[in-house]
Amino acid sequence: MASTVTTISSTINVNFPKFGESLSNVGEFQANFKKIYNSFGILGKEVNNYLNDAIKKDDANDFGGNVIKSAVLQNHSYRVNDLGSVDNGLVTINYREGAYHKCNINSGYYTFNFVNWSQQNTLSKIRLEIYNQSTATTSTSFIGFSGKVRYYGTLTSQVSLTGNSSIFYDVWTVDSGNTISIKPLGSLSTIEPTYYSGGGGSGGGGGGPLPTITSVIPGLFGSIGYEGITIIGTNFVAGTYVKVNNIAITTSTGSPTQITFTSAPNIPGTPVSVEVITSNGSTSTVVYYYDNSGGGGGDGGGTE
Amino acid sequence: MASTITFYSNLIDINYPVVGQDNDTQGFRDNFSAIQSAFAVASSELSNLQDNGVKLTETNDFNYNTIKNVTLQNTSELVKNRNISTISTSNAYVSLDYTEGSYHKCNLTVNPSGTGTLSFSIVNWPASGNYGRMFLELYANSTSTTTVSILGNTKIIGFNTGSIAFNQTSSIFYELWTIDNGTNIYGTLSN
Repeated sequence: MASTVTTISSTINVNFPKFGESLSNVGEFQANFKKIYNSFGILGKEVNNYLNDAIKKDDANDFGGNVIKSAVLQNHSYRVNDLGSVDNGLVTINYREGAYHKCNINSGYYTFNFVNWSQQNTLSKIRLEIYNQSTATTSTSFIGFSGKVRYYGTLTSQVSLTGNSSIFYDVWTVDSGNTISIKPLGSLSTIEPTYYSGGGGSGGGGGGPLPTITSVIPGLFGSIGYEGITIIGTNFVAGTYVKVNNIAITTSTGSPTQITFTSAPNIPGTPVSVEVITSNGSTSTVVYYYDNSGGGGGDGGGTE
Repeated sequence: MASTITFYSNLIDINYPVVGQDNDTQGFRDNFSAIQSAFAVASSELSNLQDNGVKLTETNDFNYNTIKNVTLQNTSELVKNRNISTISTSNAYVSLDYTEGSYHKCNLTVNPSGTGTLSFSIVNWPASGNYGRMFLELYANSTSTTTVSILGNTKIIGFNTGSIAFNQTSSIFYELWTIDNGTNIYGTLSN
């Protein structure tokens, strides 16, 4: 936007007073002083706008979501959000707090929930470092992610790490968190994370009957987690495994008609898919979480 | 910071000189003084903006200040290219400066009879508490075995040894990062 200072200042009568004329025309003096006065008023307002809104190299700049485009970045870095030690349960990762998030865990169930992603149709990406602060030789944790998650690479909820080692994930979204993509980068553990890849892939036909799910008990999962969950169904042949929210999980017992596992914490109202996978194919259902944290009634739905 | 130009320009007496009376010439001097002061402030504030304001037509050094809540479009990262021909029978060391680019591409001229290790040290990582990430592409011009390592407390996911040997006329890629000014460097390696 062009400055408008000169719209007034250009009308200042620079030829007044004329040489040899009387100085009795005081009105022209006043007019010129007024134009100078008003020009400074406009100048002050315009400079003030710049001082308030201009990008400054010597200060932090909040762009309010506006775009910087066609730039080459050099010697740039990203803010680290060090959460320190986190408790079992839900761990909230706030995108606004940094592009690299680190938290320290022990054994237990941890479900990561991401909030405040950037707006729709923009890529927002973080790196997540989960550090096992246990000094035990091997510490097993169950790591899950809340929301509609798409995974790349091999991922399992159960992660066994040596003490004082980290596992890394890249997490990103292009639709403000409606769908979250997660890619595990691996760990610095001296042992590989334990993977439960199970038997055959989902949807394939192995010649035998497809598995079925008759019911999931309980039909609503408590948001605190750590519940014993039982899947009742049929055709759970040898090698059957379970994915919850598309992550292969550890099941504790199994039979051709029954599988049990322990639920992870999650946000009340969150739907998660429970999928049984056999060499003959897969079947799934959706289960909702309700609030059993003592803070109010449940708000989940039923199974599909 | 608000502008103070008008603090001085408001001192201009726009009703001076007064019609029909003998006006003291001090009034002129007072007005000229206010005008001069307003110009001085305007000059100072504009100079500040010229020195510290971001310009679209030149490189801008933010001196590690924060840019937040921004969407980047059509941005890229600076690449540092270099040729290295010191791989011989003795070990060699190469320093990579983070401030020169976040993608370093090194073309390695390999001595076929060389047995030394080419070690890279990365300097000028971002300050602790900031996440700095560098891509390192190494291209060897020979199928002779080339051994490279990243100096410092470096842990490459999936590799227990600090040195990597490769023998291909193609590139291998490191992605290296730190959040503590390079005290600990983590990385992945793909080839």
